[in-house]
Amino acid sequence: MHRATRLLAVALLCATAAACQSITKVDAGKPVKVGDSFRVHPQIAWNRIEVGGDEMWTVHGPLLHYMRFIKAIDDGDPLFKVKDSGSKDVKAPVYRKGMSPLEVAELFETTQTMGGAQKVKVSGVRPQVLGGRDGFRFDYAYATKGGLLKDGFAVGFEKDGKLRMILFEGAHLHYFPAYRERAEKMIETIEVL
Amino acid sequence: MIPARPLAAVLAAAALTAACVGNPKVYDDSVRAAQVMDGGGTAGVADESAAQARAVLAGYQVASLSPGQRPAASTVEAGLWMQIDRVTNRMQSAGNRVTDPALNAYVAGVVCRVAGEYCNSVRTYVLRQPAFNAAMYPNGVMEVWSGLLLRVRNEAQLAAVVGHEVGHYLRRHSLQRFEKIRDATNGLVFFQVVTAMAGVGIVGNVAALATIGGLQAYSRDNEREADGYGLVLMGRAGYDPREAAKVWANIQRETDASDNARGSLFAASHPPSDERQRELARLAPAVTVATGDDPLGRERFLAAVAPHRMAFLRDEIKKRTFKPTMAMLEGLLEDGDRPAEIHYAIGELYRIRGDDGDGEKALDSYAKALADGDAPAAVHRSVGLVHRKAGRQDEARAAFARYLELTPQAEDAAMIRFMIQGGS
Repeated sequence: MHRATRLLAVALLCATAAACQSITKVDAGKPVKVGDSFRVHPQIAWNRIEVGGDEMWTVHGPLLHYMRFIKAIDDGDPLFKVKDSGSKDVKAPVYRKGMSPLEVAELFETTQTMGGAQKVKVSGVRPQVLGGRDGFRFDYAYATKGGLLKDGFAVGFEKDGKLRMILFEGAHLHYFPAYRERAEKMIETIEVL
Repeated sequence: MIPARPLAAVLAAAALTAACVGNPKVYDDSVRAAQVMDGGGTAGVADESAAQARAVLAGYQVASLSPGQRPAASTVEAGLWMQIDRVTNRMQSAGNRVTDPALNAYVAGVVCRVAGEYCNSVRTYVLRQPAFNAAMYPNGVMEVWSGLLLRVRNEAQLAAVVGHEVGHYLRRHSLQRFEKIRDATNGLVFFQVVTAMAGVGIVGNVAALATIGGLQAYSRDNEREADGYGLVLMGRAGYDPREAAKVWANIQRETDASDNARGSLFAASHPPSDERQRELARLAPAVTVATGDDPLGRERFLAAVAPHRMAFLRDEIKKRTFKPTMAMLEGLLEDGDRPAEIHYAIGELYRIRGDDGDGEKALDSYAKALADGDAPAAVHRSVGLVHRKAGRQDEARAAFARYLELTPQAEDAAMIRFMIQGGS
């Protein structure tokens, strides 16, 4: 093989490896620190995946269900990254310190929609205590582009002007109802760091 | 440019018109034009330009076309259909498909009326997609986007757009493009391009247009031809053809409001809106129009879209394209149908943008919505959010309380109560 071609191949391999997601196992029954924000107590074993600084936990794979721990979101930051439309008309949706839970729910709905989710419906925004703090919760549902229906819920609170959120979602058929109780248990026992 | 066509083709167009939906009586062009434009007074079209317009329209014959039959397996067209079938089969379960049978039936009915004898070859899907578009695939699948239903004002305007798409279908423009691309590219690109170009409709598919960049002038001719067919088809279905030009006036307004650079791929491949508007307005009086008792179909259209309009408006707001969306909303406000809902949507647009001064603009719009007397209760919720953000807690609590008073069973009632009590 030509030297330049070999170098190119090595560079491509390195770039590919760097782009790979790392997956580690989370054992049941042991408290686990999630970023700098939470400590949780999983009852079952999960697969832990890092996605853009957030952690995503799943048993059967993120396409079927996952719990996502969103890192602390600062004033002016998006909830999560969505593809840039390239349009100068678009003003990207971002979190603003002091947003009410109703506005956070709107922000979530808009961000999900801009990320490609179809017919996103957020409902039932309500108060919820998380790790001893006043927080909020809402339910959501959407369809993928291919028409797979997903259900989910989100909990969150603001601490030091930054938003912390946890999502759990799964396929409407089976995976959301099957793992919902485990996700609820983990949220009930969450410790805020 | 649209080529001049033999005048004899007028006879074919007349024969076609005789096969139209409903009462087949055909009005004389100039008489009909005078009726439409002047309420029955003097003729509104100069003889020379009317003759030119008639000559152009004579080229848009439908009777000699025979789409809707599956092409033979050995043909290039069969390859195109195979690829297109894959795309359109996915549409049946698409996540953004509007499933309301009533709205689907209404839109399909308009498409069918315009398609006339080709109705049985067409399948129509309404999709929740907040942009101005409709598209028709070579296998007879028509998709109509929710954004289109917000940007036309009556059934005649909807008929103009779907008629344009049926024009593409009848003239097999997709096949023409397919063959042109095949000749210009190698085999791999040939097949990759197919799915991208499928459904290039009124607005077009950016990816497809990027790929077929060299064919843009060709596409413009297709669009002009489809515009002409759209006029002929809506006329024979009994719709007022002058409504076609008005669609483009609405679209031009949004384009003018956009910060995006002119000279986009869409602009390069489609005649400019103002040019389309002028040409459609020039040709409209010469279109043969079947008699009918309601050439605009405004009330039918508004009644069909009404149950969905707020959801469609929310989709537009979520795009966060403030200037074009505002232009669209202002157009709806001028149209006059249920203004409270539009004032509320304008208020939401300001509130969600949240720039300096937007809170007060939002409150102004909410006040107009409430003054109209037919505003949704959620306006009070939004008023409360604006006051809360501005630190006016008493006003916020009052607005939230009013919201709960009107909708005590609201799905977010628990959160609202919590906020009234000083939480969050």
